[in-house]
Amino acid sequence: MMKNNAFQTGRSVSQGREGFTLVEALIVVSLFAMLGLSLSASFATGLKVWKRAAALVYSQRQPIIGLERLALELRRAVATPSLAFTGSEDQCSFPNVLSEGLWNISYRYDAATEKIYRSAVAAYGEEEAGASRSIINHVENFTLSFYGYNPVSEVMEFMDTWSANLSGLPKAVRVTLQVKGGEFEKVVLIPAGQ
Amino acid sequence: MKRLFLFPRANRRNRGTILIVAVGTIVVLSILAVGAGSSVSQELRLSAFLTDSNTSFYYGLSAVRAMKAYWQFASSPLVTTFYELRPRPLDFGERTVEAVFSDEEALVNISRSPSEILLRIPGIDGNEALVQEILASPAALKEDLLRLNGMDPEIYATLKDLVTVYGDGKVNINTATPQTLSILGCGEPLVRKIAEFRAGEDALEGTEDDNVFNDVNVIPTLLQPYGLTASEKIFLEGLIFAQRLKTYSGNIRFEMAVKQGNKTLRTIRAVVDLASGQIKRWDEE
Repeated sequence: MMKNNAFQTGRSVSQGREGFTLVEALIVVSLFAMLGLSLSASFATGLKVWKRAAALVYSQRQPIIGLERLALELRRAVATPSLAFTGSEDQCSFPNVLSEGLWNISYRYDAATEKIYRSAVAAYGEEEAGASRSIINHVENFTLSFYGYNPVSEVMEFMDTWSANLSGLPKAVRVTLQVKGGEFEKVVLIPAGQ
Repeated sequence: MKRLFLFPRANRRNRGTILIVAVGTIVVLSILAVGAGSSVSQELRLSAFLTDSNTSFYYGLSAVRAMKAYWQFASSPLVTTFYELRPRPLDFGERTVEAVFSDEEALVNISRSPSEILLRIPGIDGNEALVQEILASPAALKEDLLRLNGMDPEIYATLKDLVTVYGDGKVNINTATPQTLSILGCGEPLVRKIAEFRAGEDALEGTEDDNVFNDVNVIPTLLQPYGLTASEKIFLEGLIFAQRLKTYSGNIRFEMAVKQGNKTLRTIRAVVDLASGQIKRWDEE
């Protein structure tokens, strides 16, 4: 018995159903290519949108987290004659007890780079490794004011500066931060200044 | 007439293509869903962190004020005994503050004690040069000791839990630790007799039946039934005369855990002067 085979029967392949013609193969290949292209294009677009959204979310989170860190460290400020709390509109510096030692923590706004920098210097030792680094980027404005007794006006009020001449710690610090896409304001109570 | 379909049923061969398209779409949608889920979860965590961070501070502050008011109205403005300093949970509705207290004036005041006492502090161990450094520049914070010549991290680690910088320099005999009494010069038998007196009938300190030294001048008399010897009596009278002892304290250390259910949201340590109400130190973790 002979098998039903194109070679054996001598029948043309194009007449049977066992294979594809060149045209059919080309159509299938081009269809798959179009499909693959559209899939990869949509995937790439999705990734691009995802990255942009993630960057936006990160840029919105960074000031919030940075502000929270500043608030936490301000709350831990301690009064000691060896290190004074000082501050102006765009920077502040105060003593903190960190990892069994006294540290001078500073926050400084650099308008040129639009960044807020934090540094931690051991009061009786070397600077922290990798200190003075930016913690908030793309800052359009950063303002500090300090609540305490003003010997000039003789009332308790927010002042633009806090110097070593003023006694102890301010009772509170108001932080105003303006970044692309939002403005944040926080009044941080300093327990040891109460 | 031949029927026309907008979406004709795929023939057997074309069904594979549809499957691939469907699988591809599902994969893309799944990636987007996972990404969106992760983003939302991060936002929720950040929001919870901010809420916990800001509210925990105020719960801690409320606990300090509540305990200050409680001690003022319950007994006296100043705390005297271990029983008054017993740990307690403070319920604020949604949050609980589990507070543990310790008396700063149960420790040796390193800024206001004379050299003969400072020389007995473990770590200093008779180092007179270091004692002169300590006396020359009184510390406002314990950590200020680290700037002194001759003070290294090892010495600091040994003495930091035995000393304080708060108070008037006198030691509260109702809460003084055995190490503090030893540093003051009390021998082991005298330390034991003081502890036995304070513990009361149940022999446990920090319980309701604790005995209290209400006045420094009656300390020798109250310890007489516990076998106070003549030399111990003379020694105690010397401490009283030198104004090294007292029977109350105003500087209390708070160790607070702000909790939501069993979850600890924040740990706060504070030192509070109960007499003035001033918070002298505030550490948050």
